[in-house]
Amino acid sequence: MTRGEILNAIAGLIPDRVFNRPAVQVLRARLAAADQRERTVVGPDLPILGEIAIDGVADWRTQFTAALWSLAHAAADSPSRAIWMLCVAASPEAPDELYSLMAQANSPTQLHMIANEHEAVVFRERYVPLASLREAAARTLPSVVEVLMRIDPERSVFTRATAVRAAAHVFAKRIGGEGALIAIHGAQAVAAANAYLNRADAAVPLRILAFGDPQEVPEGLRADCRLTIARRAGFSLLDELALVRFCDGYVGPADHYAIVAADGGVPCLLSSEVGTKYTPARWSRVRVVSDFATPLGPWLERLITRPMAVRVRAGTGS
Amino acid sequence: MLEKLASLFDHGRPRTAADKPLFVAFLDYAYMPYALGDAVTWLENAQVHARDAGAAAIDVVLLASPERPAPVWQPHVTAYNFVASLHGILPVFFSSPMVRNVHVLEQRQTFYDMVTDLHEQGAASWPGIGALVEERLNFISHLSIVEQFRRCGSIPLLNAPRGYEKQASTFIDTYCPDHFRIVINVRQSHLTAAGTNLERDSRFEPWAKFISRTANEYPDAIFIVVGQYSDVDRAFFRLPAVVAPRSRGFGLGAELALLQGADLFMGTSSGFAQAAFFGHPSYIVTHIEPRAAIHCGVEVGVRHHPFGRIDQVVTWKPETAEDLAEEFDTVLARKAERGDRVPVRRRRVV
Repeated sequence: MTRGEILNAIAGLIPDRVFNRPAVQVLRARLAAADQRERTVVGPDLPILGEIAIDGVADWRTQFTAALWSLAHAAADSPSRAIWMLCVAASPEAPDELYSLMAQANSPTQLHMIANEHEAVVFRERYVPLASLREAAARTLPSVVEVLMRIDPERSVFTRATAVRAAAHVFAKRIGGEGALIAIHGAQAVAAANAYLNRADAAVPLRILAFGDPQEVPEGLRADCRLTIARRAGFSLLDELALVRFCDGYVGPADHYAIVAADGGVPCLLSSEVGTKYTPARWSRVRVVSDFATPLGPWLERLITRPMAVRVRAGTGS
Repeated sequence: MLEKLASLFDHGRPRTAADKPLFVAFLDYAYMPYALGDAVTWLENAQVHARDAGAAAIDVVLLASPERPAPVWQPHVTAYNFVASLHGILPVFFSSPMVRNVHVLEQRQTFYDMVTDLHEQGAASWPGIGALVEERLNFISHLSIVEQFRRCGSIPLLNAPRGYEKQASTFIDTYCPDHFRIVINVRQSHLTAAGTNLERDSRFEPWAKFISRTANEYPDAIFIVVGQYSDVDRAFFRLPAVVAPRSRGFGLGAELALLQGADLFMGTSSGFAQAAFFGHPSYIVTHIEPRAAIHCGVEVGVRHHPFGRIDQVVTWKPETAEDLAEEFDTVLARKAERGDRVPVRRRRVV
């Protein structure tokens, strides 16, 4: 008989008002956790463990999101299981961004920001159930390209309903209006969007939302009233991740925004040096290219609700 | 200046789990409000208790769970929006140089498991196990802090939050290199959708008048207006020598880093003021509520907190432009006495 079964048996013997007292709740939690730690077979209630090293990793946001997406799929198949992410970093860059990414998953999540590997060993030994550790050791976390190849918007996992998402929906409708609202990120996408806006007629129903570091947006483009720099409008990464799901398209590197957008069924035009390895699924709305310069215009024009309105001043380039 | 900034990010690493004794700070948002000032005071209390326990490092365990997302006096925070509330203050928990690991939990079971496990290990904690079980937490009191200051002659100070170094330096390099940096926070909760305690708000006009006059008088001074995007009156942007980090793409983490590295903080009694109280900068904090005195361990009307320096001033009434100018001059004189940097006054043409 497990501790949990003993507890359930006790529950029938003592009044609810006693059983639900905080002190008894603490005891129940302790026993249930001890029970889980001793389990050797993966099953309901056991946490799904993921680990990411952050120190010195430039694209930790992307790696974290890819790992979380994969674990969220496992959690979707077993709703009683929570996702525990261990992030080992002495000095995590922008810890609130880690939480922003974590909060995308629909499952219960726990974020453990651990200062060093020694501390991580102590944490695993004390709190992580054996079966979860074994499961994590046997699992290979996918790369971003692998995630993008597997994403199926019909089985979306970044679906947590939050007020942030509701506010983002209203904003996207207001700023996008009846035209196309396109999110962009990264210097390459910004440059390509700048070139396109210079060519396209101002009447084209297109609004651009630039994510990430505002410094990546050149001065000339900042003055374009068709462009909104999300961070300068007071949006954080948490808001941007909500916004990207309500955009009509996303242009940028194969990064954390791309995973969230693709998971939400948003058409994506992504740049990646591993583009040749990318094989889209039949239903995929994700296209990976090595350079935006040529494909961006036609791709955008298909998304714009009134494509006949596009009048490109051919050949001028400005 | 860069050395001074760098020293704020010196967290004394590396540390290992061999640091003894272990100290853990627990925070359950089922009965603690999502508020910047309360989070700062909670963290300072954790530092004070950790120091008393002889601990070198603090592990922070935060619980924000959908089944009990917020205390009864924050009914507007629900399972639907608590993520945004926690996200809005998360950088605070990295402001202590003693903080080592930070756990953000959504499951009460893990929280209680950690509480009881650490109790079994004999680890010290803030609050203690009894208070955690009974869900008792005095998150606004300065009394333990004042008591430690009277006993030891100092308190552990908060630093710039870890992880926001690069953002703070980028901001300074881009917008205010070599300036005398004055961080400003004017409480304007009435501008937010969930405005609370509106009687604690300050009016924009006296601050606008003070900023305009001071910017004209001290050409090398710059005012960095901090606060939630919705809190900051847009009219601030039209004032001279003003820059608002949130409108330049920076968040709370960068703002707290800028505050701790500032030459002066000025503002209404609020969350940022609490960060200044337990941090490094000179400050002028206005409009402190008389009813807060009992929690701060002071008499109404005192000019300094017990642990405050001579260039760290508090006032107890709503501010006027004249009051602000007078306090500003006083604090500059104190800073000059201490040998700190002061802004250069514009020469008057006779």
